[in-house]
Amino acid sequence: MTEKGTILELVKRVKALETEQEKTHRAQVALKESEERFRLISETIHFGVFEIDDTGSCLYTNTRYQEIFGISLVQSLTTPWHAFVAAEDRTAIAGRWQAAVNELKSFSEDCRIGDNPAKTRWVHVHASPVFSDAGARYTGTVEEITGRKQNEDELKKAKEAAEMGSRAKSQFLANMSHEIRTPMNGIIGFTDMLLETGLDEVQADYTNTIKRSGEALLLLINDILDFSKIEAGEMEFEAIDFDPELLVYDVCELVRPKIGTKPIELVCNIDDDVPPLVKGDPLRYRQVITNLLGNAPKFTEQGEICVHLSVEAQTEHALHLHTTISDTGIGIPQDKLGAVFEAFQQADNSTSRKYGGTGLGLSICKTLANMMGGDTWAESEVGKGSVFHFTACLQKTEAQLPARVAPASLAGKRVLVADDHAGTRQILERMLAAAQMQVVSLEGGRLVTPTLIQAQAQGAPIDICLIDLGMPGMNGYQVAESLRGALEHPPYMIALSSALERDAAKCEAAGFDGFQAKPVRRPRLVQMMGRLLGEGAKAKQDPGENVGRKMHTQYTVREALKHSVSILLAEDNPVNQKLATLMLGKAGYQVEVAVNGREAVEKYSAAPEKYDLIFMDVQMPEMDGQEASRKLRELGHTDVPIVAMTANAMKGDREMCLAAGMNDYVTKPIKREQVFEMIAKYVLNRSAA
Amino acid sequence: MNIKELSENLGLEEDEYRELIDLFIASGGGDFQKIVAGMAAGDADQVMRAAHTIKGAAGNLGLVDVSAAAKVIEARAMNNQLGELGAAVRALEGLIKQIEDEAGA
Repeated sequence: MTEKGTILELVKRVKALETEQEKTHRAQVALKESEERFRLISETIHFGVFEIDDTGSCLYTNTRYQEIFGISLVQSLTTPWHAFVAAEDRTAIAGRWQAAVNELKSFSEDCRIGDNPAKTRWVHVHASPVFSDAGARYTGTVEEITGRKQNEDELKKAKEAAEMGSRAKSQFLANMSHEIRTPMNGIIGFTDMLLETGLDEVQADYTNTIKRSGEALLLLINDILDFSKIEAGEMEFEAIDFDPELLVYDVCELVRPKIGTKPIELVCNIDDDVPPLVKGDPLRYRQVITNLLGNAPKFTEQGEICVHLSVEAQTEHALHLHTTISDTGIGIPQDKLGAVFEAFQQADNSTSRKYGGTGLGLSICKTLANMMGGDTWAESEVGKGSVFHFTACLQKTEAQLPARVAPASLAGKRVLVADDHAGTRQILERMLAAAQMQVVSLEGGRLVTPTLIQAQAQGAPIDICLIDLGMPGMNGYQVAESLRGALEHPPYMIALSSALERDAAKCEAAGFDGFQAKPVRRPRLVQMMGRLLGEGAKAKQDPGENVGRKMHTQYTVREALKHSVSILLAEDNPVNQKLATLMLGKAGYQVEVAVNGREAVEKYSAAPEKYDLIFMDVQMPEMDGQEASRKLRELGHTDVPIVAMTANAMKGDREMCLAAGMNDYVTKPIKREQVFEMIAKYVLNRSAA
Repeated sequence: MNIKELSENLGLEEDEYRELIDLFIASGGGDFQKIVAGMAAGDADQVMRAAHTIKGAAGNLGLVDVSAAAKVIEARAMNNQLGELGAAVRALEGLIKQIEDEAGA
């Protein structure tokens, strides 16, 4: 039994041993396979591999590691990897390596290796700590990245070169703008001077052509500059308060000369809910409208050009203004409508030949509109006309002008409008109704006198008439003629005209009390009517004997009308001319330059209603400032403020200026603040007379 | 010459100011020739007027040195001291030239 038992025991042990052996064998095979796999990977891998124990000795490196550093196995196990780093970086990198090891952190860095600077190679070394009972070891990889580094360097260089090129291009454009504009200013400036030198008719004609061409070229250059600014992303927008209504009127005034003598009615329609002030960039806003409106006369021979400003939508803080500019011109074919807003495109190549232009204007408009949170687009029918739309998102402003209240003197007064253009009548009717006046509107001149007589007979006489001068059938002058002596108490009469010449004398002789250029500016009309009707007792006599009354063409200018302030600058030095023009222009004033005292007197006398203030240099050739001022006062221009610009800040200078009839003076060098103070003092704050 | 600062003082863009400087160089050069011609011809009045013009324009542009040099010439010419102008005229010429160089750079 025992033997049997013993044998059994033995067999069991042998079995167990065999099993154990089998296990060991399998483990050995597995280990061998694993080792084989590891070796295979380690030897075929593209990376160099290394292992370092907690004492810093290298335990293992693969063949690739040795190849990368160009060393033998023994060298690789006896020399730390950072000993192969390029000499100039060696200490720093060894330091960082040591620091990482001390803190048991990962290390990862691009390193230059080899001591031959001509053949610098780059490796990326990455090592991480591995923690075990025996302590911390580091295993790491070394990757040759020389090719990648070179590519990176090349890319970097290429990028730098590209950036430098781009900067150079911007700089070039900035320089060119200056380089081109300077001689252009010279050409235009000296052409102006040439025109002053007593040329005969032919010479003057040629010279004027040079001037016009120069100005056209300057506009074009500005277009191109704007375009490149947009391209370069350098376009900046301001956020300042401005009056959109006033701005549109100003643009109308600017564009009106382009219509010339063509039978075109320029209509300006501002919706009542357009606020008196909005916040945005008035220059850019104006640029778009000027461009769109400026195109219309080019393509329209007759009919009307209408600007309509309305509020499309509003939120608590923002306001979407929608401007439409419609004309009765040649129109644009349907398939070209989109293309007109693309850069360098016009509806037709022949268009540019016939009508000129860069083909940049509308593209700039569209971009500007987009940048203002809006858009531009067009509708058109060939032969019927086009409608251009412009929307922009502007901010509401906290600073609000006093609400548009019409003078109390207008409420309830009866007004007659005679104009053959239905659109103009409609706008006037609305303006007048908003001022709480009672409006009678006629589409021609013939019925004016009978209507007035009838109204008087019915005990409801008309107080004031707005008569278009250019009506067919019976024009405004004829209407005035037919009114002579027809009524015991004739109404006040305001002439409306789109003609460029404001023939004040002719209107006055015909019996008109005032004159309004079309499109009629609501504030100006309301103001003029207020003044006429506010005069109280109607002392109107027969115009033929009328001596006491003067035409009310001189507008009183309120703060809000700043942009309409027009300044005559008498100054002979081109530098000072340009400086003053820039300064005043930037502040929104309109400036006309006279090159000496004589010209100042001529320019002012030719259109006294046009100027609100004269800045007069004291020392000028031909006729100095004092003499010019004396002349102007002698000619009866006693109202216009004249401010002397004097370099001689000596005592007595002021007295001399005042004695010559000037109102005030500023000293040179000219300071902006001084100049603006004078404008504020003599124009903006002058109480309504 | 710090164009950025000078243009900011006037509330202008740099390129606008550069245009003014160019205009000044162009017109000031002519005025300077008038000073020289006036000295040669003994015409104190012409020298005075030309110097006055340079003084004014330079002053407006904030070119204080030029303006000051022109002022000296104007004052001496006013007192008929044409003989004592040499140094001041050379100084003015140098200053204008300097602006020309700097503006051109």
